Amino acid sequence: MKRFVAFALVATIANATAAFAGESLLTTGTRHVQQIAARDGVPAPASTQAPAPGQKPVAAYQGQNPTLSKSGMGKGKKMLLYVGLAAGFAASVWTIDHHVLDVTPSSLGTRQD
Amino acid sequence: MTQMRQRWSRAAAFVLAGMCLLWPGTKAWAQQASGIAGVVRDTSGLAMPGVTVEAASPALIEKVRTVTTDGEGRYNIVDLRPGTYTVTFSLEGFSTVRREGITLGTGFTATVNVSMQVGSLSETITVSGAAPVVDTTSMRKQDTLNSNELESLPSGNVGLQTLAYVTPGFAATQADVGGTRDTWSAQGNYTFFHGKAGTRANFDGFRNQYFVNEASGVGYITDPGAIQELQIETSGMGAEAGSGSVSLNAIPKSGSNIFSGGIDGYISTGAMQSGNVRSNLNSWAQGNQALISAAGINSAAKVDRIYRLGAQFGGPIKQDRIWFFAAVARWGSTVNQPSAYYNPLQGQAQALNPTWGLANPAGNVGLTPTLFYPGQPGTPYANVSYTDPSLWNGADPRKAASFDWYRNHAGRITTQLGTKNRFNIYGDLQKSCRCTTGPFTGSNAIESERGWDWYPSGVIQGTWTAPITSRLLLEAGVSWQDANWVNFAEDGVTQNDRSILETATNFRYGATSLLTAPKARTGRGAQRFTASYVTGTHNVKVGLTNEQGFNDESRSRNNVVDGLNYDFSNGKPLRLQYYAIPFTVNVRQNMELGLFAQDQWKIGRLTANIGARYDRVSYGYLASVAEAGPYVPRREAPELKGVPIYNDFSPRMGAVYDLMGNGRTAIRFSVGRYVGLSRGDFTSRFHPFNSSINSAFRSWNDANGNYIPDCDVRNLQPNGECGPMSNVNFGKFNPQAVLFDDSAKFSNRDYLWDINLDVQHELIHGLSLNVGYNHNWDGSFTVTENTLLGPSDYDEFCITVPNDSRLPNAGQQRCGFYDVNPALFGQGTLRVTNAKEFVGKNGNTSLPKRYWDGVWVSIDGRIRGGIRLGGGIDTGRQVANGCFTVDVPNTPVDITGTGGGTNFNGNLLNGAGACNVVTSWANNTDFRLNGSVPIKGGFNASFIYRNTRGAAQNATAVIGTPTAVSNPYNVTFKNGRSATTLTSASAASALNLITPNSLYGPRFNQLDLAVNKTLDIGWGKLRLAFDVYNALNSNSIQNVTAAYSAALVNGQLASSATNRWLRPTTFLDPRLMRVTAAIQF
Repeated sequence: MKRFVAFALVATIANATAAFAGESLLTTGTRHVQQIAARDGVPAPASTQAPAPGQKPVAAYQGQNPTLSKSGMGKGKKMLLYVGLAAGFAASVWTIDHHVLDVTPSSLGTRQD
Repeated sequence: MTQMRQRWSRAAAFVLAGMCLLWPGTKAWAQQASGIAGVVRDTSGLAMPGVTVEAASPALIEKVRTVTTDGEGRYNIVDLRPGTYTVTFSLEGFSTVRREGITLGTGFTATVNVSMQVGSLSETITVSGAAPVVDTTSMRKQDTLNSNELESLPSGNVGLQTLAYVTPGFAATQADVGGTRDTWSAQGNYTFFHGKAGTRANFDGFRNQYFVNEASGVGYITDPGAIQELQIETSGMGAEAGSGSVSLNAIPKSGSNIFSGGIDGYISTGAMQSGNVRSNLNSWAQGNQALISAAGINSAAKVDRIYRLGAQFGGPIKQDRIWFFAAVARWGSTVNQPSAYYNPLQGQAQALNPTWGLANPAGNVGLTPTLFYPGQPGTPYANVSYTDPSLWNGADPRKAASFDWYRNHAGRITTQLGTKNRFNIYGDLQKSCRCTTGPFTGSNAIESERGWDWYPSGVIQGTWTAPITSRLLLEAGVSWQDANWVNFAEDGVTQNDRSILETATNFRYGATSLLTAPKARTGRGAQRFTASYVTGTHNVKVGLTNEQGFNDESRSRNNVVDGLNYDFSNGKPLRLQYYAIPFTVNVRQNMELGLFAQDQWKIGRLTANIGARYDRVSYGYLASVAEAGPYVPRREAPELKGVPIYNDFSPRMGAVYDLMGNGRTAIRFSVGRYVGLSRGDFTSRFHPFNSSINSAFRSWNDANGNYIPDCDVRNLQPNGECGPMSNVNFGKFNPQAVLFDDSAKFSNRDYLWDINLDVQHELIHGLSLNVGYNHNWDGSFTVTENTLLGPSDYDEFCITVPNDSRLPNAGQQRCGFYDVNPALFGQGTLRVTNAKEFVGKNGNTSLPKRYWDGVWVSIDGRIRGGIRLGGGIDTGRQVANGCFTVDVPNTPVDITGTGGGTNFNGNLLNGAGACNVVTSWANNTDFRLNGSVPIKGGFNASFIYRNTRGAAQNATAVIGTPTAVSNPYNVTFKNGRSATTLTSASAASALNLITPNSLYGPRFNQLDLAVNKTLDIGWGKLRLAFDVYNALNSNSIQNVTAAYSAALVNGQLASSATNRWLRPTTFLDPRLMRVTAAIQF
């Protein structure tokens, strides 16, 4: 019942802008729910994937995104994918380097400095 | 092959030198760090000292940073990397409180206040919720874009300029439409904000700009794939910052404890582009079909290809100890420019008219292979289009394109040694080609461009951070940036070609005016050390910064015979332009030392920011030798250090008030004195090669019409068809030709006072509104006087403005122009000094002025439903009053010999009233909005919209020297002097027909759109994006021809039949689509 009341409270006045100790009502309500849940031995709700208001999306390369290295794939298959991606990229780079017109004196060997 | 080996050796030496430089690893710095601060209270509201506060994030290699609250319950965790944090508060006898999901951008301090209740330490209360969006501690006004936002937005050419692009109030030289602008100039495309001179560009907190001239160009070209976040600071910078110029900073990505990587690429081709040539682009011709045929705009920029392929990979070498990150990228562009074609007459002068022959009397110049460009007025080809099949022998006209490509190879190592020391080392070695000077827009011929050969170039940086205790933090860093940028001539240009400027249209063709070759190498070194002592109440920071700069540069003219350039007027020879070749300088900034101390002091809801800074900058140059050239003897300049030296003391202060005490409303005020950005040309002006007068011109009266200067061009006295030199010191090695007063050498650095007042309020969760006012003004002006001349040596004359209804004062007499007494033309010695010397003299009652008053309203943040918005409106009024007389009445010339950054227009003859340039509120109003909106099906849409002022429509005219029978502009001296005595100095100068920056064209509009979708592919994510740049297909005009050409029509001066005034030189490129694919794994 307490949880229901708390949820109802949050749902109805979550958009209000009044704040308490640096928190919004939404935050405060959520905190109460989590406190109640914690006391009842229920795990705290997992954070959502969508960024909350005010949050900037997290930049990559900090380990939060699902990655190949953490997938359930076998080690061999992972290596194969890594090698395949690297080879494909290297081949593409080689192709670009050999198809873009390069008339720079440093490449032509005509620099005089 | 030997030279190739030398290139590689140089590249290896560059890397090695950088590594050696970094190895000691004890001097470094950090950019504006992020932080989390707040107050801990118990449920009765009493402050709780001694609470342990831990900030944890995957972004931290040390995983956790720990502090304790002070006697007032305050805590302050500083030096946090951008990322998402969980903060835990614990104290024996109280339940532990966890606050999750606090996302920090660069330079942002999040306020997190908590209330702890009595309970068991093992009992944890977890709180997830909105992250703060208002910084209630810093007086700095700043903003950030992180890599996800950069990926989401239709950012086009991502780099330091991207934030400037979306920030209201930034003036740009040319818009970019999905990467149509070359990367180098795009990354340096931030010219002006609230009237402040210059912008400081940084990479990971280190200045990233050339040490050439004004040092405004970007030094190290950043790979967008290596950027985690971009940061901009516009005002209220603390004592850590030397200059008050706007600061842009790119923060590189780093590895983590998880292997992860990505491959990304995009492509745009001509098939993905529209056209936007409409009648408004040719309205300047006023219906003159012949003129439209010869010089009309009949094509828009056409993309050949814009592409990118990049890869990044990072992860742990050793968990929690050593992380690596690597990025490799290739990108570039080829964009055919509007109505831009190679010159079909290039190299054909002799074939076109054999009677011109090769007559070359002793001492005379030979005929240049290239004399004309089709369509230029007054030539035999004035009415022939450059695409005329007869000129191309039936072949398709060869289109001219801007062309550039980049190859970056970056790596970063992050290490945690022990529990205290964290090191970062970053390096990037790149080879690039800015194959046309850029931004090549077709406003001049492609042959007048020059390529830049960037190799080897790159950057090496190292930083060290050590939280010695929970209160004491030490930071240090070093950086080395190096760029070779040797010029080379464009395809089809031979070493006999000359650069020719058609003054009637301001169109240059034939060859580039000056080559920076065979040597061009510039770069910077930087060091910084700071110590912070942080309690909950105080954040005291002291430190030093030091920077060095170098520029080794030689200059040459394309024509190897005599190095002369030609100026034509309506297709006829007008002047010979001389340069003192060979030319080489090695200028140095030996130090730019800054010592600073500042404190952020929290008193209740108020955070006071108090600081002070001492700056000392010292320049010089190495010994240099230039062998004898065609016009100058052998020259030697000994090494010189300590000229100039400037010392400055600058106070900074400000306050931030947390209005409601809840971290949601901040009132900020700041005031500070800032030194001007250091520049490469501070010292090069003093170099004897420059102070000797290294360029000059003389009139060329081609009486026989053979396009050969029938005179001895090496004889600098008037002879044959060649007139007197514009400066008698040209051709001499006379370093005393320009004297520098001590006030210019030792105590006269330009400075800025900046006052800022703004209010930021969190309107709804995650979205803040910011309203503010900014006032700034410049101080310390240098001027150049001619020691022989004074105001009485100049005679005022008037002209009749052509009878053209587009000119505000059409048909009226315009006075206020001055011409030197002919007997004194080209005479005298120049002296550079402080403008104060002339206050009280020559009718001057006060110094020149430049000030700005402006206001803005902006929003920023993310609201419900994942919608993100940023932008606003920025407007202001600038006054640049150069009504100050040194020699020429009301025309002060600054230390550079021109108007410099103060719009004095010292190189123009202004006319009455034109010395006080006021840019109005309306013409400074700038509206920009960007955002992203999640839409159905997992798609995300984003946009950038910009509405800024239109192109300045200035009007200048080269009037020529009147004769007894021809005085079309009705030149009349007020003292009765004959108009025919108008000296070539005035005849060569452009006269302002209207007050500069008083007339603007229609406003500029650009809307860019993007749609993204990210797919889960099991082992990673695939992001697909479809961008549409310039979605409205606007052809907003950005620059127009200022040169006005007049002729007598029915006895009255009017627009000539070939007048190209207001012809667009750049307009917005057409709508362009881009397809992007990126895999993250």
